[in-house]
Amino acid sequence: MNEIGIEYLNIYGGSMALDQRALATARERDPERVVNDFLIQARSLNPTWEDTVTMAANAAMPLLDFVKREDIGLLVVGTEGSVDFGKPISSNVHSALELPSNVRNFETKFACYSGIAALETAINWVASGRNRGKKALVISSDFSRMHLNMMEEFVLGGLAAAAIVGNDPGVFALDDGIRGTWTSDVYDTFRPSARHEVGNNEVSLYTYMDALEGAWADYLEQNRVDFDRDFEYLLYHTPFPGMAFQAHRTVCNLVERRKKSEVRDDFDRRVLPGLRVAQQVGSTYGASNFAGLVSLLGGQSPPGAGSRIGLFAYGSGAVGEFYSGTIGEQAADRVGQMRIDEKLAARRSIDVPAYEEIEKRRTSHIEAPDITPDFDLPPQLFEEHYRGSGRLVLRSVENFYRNYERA
Amino acid sequence: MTKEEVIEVIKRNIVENLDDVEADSIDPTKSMKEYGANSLDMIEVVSTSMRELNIKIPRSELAELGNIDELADKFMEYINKG
Repeated sequence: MNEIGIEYLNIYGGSMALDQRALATARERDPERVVNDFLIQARSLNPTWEDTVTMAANAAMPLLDFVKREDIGLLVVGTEGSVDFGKPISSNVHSALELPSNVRNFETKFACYSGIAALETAINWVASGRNRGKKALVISSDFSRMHLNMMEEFVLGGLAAAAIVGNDPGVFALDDGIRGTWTSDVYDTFRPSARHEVGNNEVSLYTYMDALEGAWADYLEQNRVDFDRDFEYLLYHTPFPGMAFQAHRTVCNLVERRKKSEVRDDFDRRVLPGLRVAQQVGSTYGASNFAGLVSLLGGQSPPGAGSRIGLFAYGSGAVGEFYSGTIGEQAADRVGQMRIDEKLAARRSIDVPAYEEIEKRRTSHIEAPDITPDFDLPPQLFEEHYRGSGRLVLRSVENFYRNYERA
Repeated sequence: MTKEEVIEVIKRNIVENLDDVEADSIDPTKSMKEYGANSLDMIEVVSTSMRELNIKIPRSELAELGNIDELADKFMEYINKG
């Protein structure tokens, strides 16, 4: 059987975290209500020497301990936070990872769908046979803009995910060719400049549900599954983890109308375990489905080999895709060796005044021709979390030329 | 179906999806938000009402509506289209 999918998988949640309760208190909101509504405990936060390039490279580097560089033939990086309108961040990542010169690389864009667009491209490349036995490296890397004192401030964050895609999917094999797709030209959430991340929350929530219904219907046309019986877990795209409950309620009621309490029980069993990472990093953007897989596989009782997972990817603008796959034989071992929980727990906790200062400083760097990151903001973070680690950092920007190096 | 009947369907779904709201206390000139609905609750009320009325409206058309009465008008538009 010609299985195609994810051979290795890692995520990178940065080096700092902001506690959601502390933020709620600072904004004079009820901390418990904020945590319960959005299901976020903490968001990830970047120092000024990290961007979508460094996050992407830092997610991918550990995978290269297991896969030879010369076995990689394609690098696709999905992002809605590129640092350049022409030069793709995949080119920066390609050099940072020291990949061979004949690795084709490019960037994909479709808001939060960019990571799955990258994955689909890689899957199809492998399926075509034109990969000549090589593997693809797929990366999704995104980070929030600044929204101090705004309604959106409770649903921010960022994450990078990296996956090796090939013919030996020890982590996750995608069901071959079955994709339920739905699209619509809408302005729900968008980034019209390098500084802005704007939109209408209600339009976005409504469009998400339209996309989910449309994609699910299209999926069912191709694969007559029993929703309640055939999926051990469901991973819905999470602009914030609380959204997954509504997504699950929508599909459950499409299958058969049921009470909210019944949906809640099923959500706790089949959806909540996949939100573990998102609850620690906030918005996961294009890395959402990857974060869901990592949450399941790195958890207390990871799904066994052959377990079928249903996934929904969504990108504002808008596109939705429902697809599925099965857990591979080496999944829990391979994800476990990335020590993801340990690394998330090791992030430095940042207080609200420091968070505000860092965010203002980062925003001042956007589109600036010359930048020297402040490696003392916050104090000692660089020394304790970066120096000697081999992580990629932005050293400087000189007349728009970005200089990266390994710390 | 009359607009009054449509409003009754919406009210029933508000009661089913929100805590501590009684149908008789719901004023259609108000927004669901005034009865404690968050954005996700509103989506669910709209979804279940559309299913019950057997109509399908792109939800993006519904995001800008201000109150329950306007929602009923939008539903009537689609009911009359058949």
